[in-house]
Amino acid sequence: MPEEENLVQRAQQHDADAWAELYNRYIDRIYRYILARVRNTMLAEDLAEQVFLKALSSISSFTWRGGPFASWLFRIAHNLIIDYYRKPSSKEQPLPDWDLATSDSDPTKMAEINLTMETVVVSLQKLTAAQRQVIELRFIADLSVEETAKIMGKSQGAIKALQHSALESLRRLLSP
Amino acid sequence: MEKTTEKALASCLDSIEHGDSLEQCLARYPHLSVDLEPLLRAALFVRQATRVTARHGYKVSSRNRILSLLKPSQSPVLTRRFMPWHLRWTAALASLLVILLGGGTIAFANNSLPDQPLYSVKAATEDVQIALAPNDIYRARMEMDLMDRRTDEIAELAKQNRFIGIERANQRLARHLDRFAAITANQEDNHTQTRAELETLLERKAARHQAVLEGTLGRLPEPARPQLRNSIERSKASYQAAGQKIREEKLQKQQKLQEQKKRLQEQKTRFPRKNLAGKTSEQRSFPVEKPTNEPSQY
Repeated sequence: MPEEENLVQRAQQHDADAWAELYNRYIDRIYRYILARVRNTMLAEDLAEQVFLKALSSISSFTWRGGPFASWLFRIAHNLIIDYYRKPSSKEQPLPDWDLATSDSDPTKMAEINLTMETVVVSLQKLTAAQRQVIELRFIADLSVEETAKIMGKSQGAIKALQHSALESLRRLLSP
Repeated sequence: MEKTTEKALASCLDSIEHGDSLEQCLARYPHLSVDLEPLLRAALFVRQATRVTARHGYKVSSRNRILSLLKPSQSPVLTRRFMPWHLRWTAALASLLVILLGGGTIAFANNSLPDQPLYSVKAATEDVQIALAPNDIYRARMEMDLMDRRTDEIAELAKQNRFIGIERANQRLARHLDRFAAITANQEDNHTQTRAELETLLERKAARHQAVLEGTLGRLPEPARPQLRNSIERSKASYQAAGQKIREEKLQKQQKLQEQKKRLQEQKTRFPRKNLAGKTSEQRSFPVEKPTNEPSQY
């Protein structure tokens, strides 16, 4: 963590290398988190870029007292998704499009991956809002219990209880 | 029991994240394994099924676009403190050009209109540019450039009969004006010339806005005109509100200054300072030339 603290301090001084490093570190996780919500790769790319643009413009306001950097960044992503769905233009939502980047070029395998992703995301939509968010943050964005707790404004104990009930519900939904 | 499973689940997930296998973890909780195993498998399934990454090409270009925005503020201290005034403006304008011309998609997004998907990139880019501006004057100039942009967008949307986007452009225009007014009003009293310049520039922007949109209005078919007319009225009100805000702020500052002067004068009258002989200036016996301004001992 001290290494990331140093990186963020450099980013606050507008150091390009520090920003490149933070971008590389978080872009895939941010993208995955958004994609699971919006279910469209182009839209997810657009919103993921906006997360970093927003972070760039407000990095001076970030302090470690408020929690880890990852929590701050994912809170920006979360707010952008909420803003997106509030806009009247989002009523005409783009169709789900999982044009996913995988290392596999086999079309059958790719179709399988896309189908699995769709199955998970559709199941997540049947959970309560809090359960869904905890699954997305913990297992799609790979955030720790502490980071998830900061984003959701709950205690770590509450997050542990929530992830238990969320996985219980998800297991039932995914069972054949 | 529930609490115990919760804790064991959290502990297992943590150890799996650090490299343990599912079996290793279950072996630590044999009495809970029946409950734990399906939950851990569900968690691992979600993690595995969603393990996608963004396209490599997208990541490269997106990162470059973001990093290109860092260029203008690389030496903010130098720009602010050590460069002569006219060079500051040149540097600021050059940076603005770099920002406006740099970056493939940003340049592409720059052409988007408020009712198009890429417009959010354009808006976010503009906000970053403003946030990274080296000083308030530069920021105010950028806000004014963006006012022109909004005017041109409104005109273009009206020409194409796309009235939905005009509302968004008007809202952003109002934000530019609001921020511009706040910057201008907050100029220190020793920068009155700058404040006056900014006020004049605002009047010119308002006139340009009016002229461009009135010109567009004249070329529109009659049924489309009321919507643009309505937009012109709204934006005119926004410009007037900005001007009013600056004037009010200025007036308040002037009033405060006058009050301070008045209070000082009252204090002087109530507690006149005595000279070394213990007499006020009026009590001095020797003749003195009547000063033209305030007495020197004050």
